[in-house]
Amino acid sequence: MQPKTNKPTTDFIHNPDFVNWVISPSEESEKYWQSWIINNPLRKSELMEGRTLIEGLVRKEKTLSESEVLSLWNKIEDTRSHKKLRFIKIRRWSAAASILILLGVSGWLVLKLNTSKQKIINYQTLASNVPASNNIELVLADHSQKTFTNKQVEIKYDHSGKLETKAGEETQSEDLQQSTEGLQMNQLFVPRGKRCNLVLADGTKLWLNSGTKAIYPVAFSGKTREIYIEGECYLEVAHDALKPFYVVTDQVKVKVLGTKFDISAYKDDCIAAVVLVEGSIEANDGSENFLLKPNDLLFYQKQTHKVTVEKTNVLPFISWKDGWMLCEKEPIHVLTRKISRYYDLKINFTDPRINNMTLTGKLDLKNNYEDVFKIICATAPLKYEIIGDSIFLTVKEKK
Amino acid sequence: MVKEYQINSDTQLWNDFIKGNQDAFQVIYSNHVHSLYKFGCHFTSDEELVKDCIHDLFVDLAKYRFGLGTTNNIKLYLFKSLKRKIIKSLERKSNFESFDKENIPFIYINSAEEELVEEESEKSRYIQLNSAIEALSPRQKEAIYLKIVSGLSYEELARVMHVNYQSARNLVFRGLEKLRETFPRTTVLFFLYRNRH
Repeated sequence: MQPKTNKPTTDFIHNPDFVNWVISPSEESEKYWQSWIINNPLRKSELMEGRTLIEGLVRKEKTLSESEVLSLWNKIEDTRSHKKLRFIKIRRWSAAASILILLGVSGWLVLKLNTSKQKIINYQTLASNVPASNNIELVLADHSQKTFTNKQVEIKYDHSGKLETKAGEETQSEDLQQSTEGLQMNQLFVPRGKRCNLVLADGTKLWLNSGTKAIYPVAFSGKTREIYIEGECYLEVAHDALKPFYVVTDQVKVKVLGTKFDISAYKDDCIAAVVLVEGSIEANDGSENFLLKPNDLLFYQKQTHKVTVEKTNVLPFISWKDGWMLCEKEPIHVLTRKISRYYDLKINFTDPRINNMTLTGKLDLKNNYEDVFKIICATAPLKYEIIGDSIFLTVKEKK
Repeated sequence: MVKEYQINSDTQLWNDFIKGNQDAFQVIYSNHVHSLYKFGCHFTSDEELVKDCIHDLFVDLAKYRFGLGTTNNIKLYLFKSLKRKIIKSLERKSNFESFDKENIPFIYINSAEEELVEEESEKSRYIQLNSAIEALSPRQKEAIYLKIVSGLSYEELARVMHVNYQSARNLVFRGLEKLRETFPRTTVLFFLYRNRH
């Protein structure tokens, strides 16, 4: 297939090994061609001519600077999230429309609800109606909305239907109207960069991590207690043997009697995880039950739907609730993802070497993010740079 | 709480991305954005247009990922898609009658190349080679660029340029031959002379 010609130079410039040597010489190719020249002294000038030609073909090209690479990436991400926002808006509108339609047939609806013993709640639809916002948003059953601008908020329900919120110094309290029938669902949205403590009517405590949605009833009136989580949450479930507690996520449903555990089911993670600290839980991936013991870690692979259970040190998984991040050989890209949620930051790196780095140690999340990055960059061979609202990580080159 | 993300092959990286793995998406971006930008800048001097096309390319990739097929050659896929996007937006920008889709100019020597070549002999060598390159057809220029500078195989080159394997080889072969003929021997002698000292 190789076109042949009598002109000797032709052989060089059409020889892929020769071209490779000129473009990106390796130790091996350098050795080969140097000895070739020694063995073929008469053709040295032809070789050099070919080399000059090929060298001349590689020109200085326009390049992107690292900050251009970053801002282009951010633009891509922005466009993508705006598209998502637009999607949510349409969905909210259609939800309003469907409420109107439902009102029109409410007589039939009530009848229907009363006759069907099992009410299946479509949490995904509900969750997509929770407003996207930079603040902690609490949507009550009557669709009224409370907005908190604080970084950390405490929200507490009690069995008598009282709602208490504490944001900074300000404490508010109100009695929620409770209907005797049906579940009144409240929705809580915790954005990136913020956290929320939630106490449910049965005394169950929840620590909601950044970027988490929770949907739960004001009172647990049925035979079971059921809540929905998208994101990450640490739970201490109040014991009630007669009313098992269920945590529903898009992937896994967890049944509890009374226990402490962490559940992580972020939409943009490729894994959902459940870590049990105390007690016992039963996780179900839709087809199979998995019984977890303390220090068990359950992983659910979204891609393969594969579930694995293994022993683990629980502390790195739950330390965030006390304002720490414990890392055990944590890959940098996983760590930065957690930090970016916690502080609501854009963290970027383009150097593929960073993907292979891991970090072990303890980060104090009560510090501001710059302090956190100072510590990371003192431990790992990394440099950070703040450009606009983004952190940019590069590898510290050894000199 | 993502388990360690490792990349074993283009096929795996691509599959992970299609399944919605954000890390995979970012890895694909950072691995290819530089070569894509360089490649794109050979079709137009409008750098913003190239950036916009890269932007659209990745937004579309993410948006339509569930409908994408598998690939074991991400670079090839991206090169092809970017070229298509750039040609489309060049077409949109131009008044249509003057736009020849089959004959898009390939800018081999960019305006980025304004470094001063100090030595006179070097300078004349550059000027002569430049005019030799400029004398090539756009497709020969593109083929030589893809083969020599981007390091694509003939198979890959053929697919980016929508020609068959033999045509791809011919484009490179004839292009290089043409360059060699225009490339004056005297400059080579200068070069050798310098090397001896």
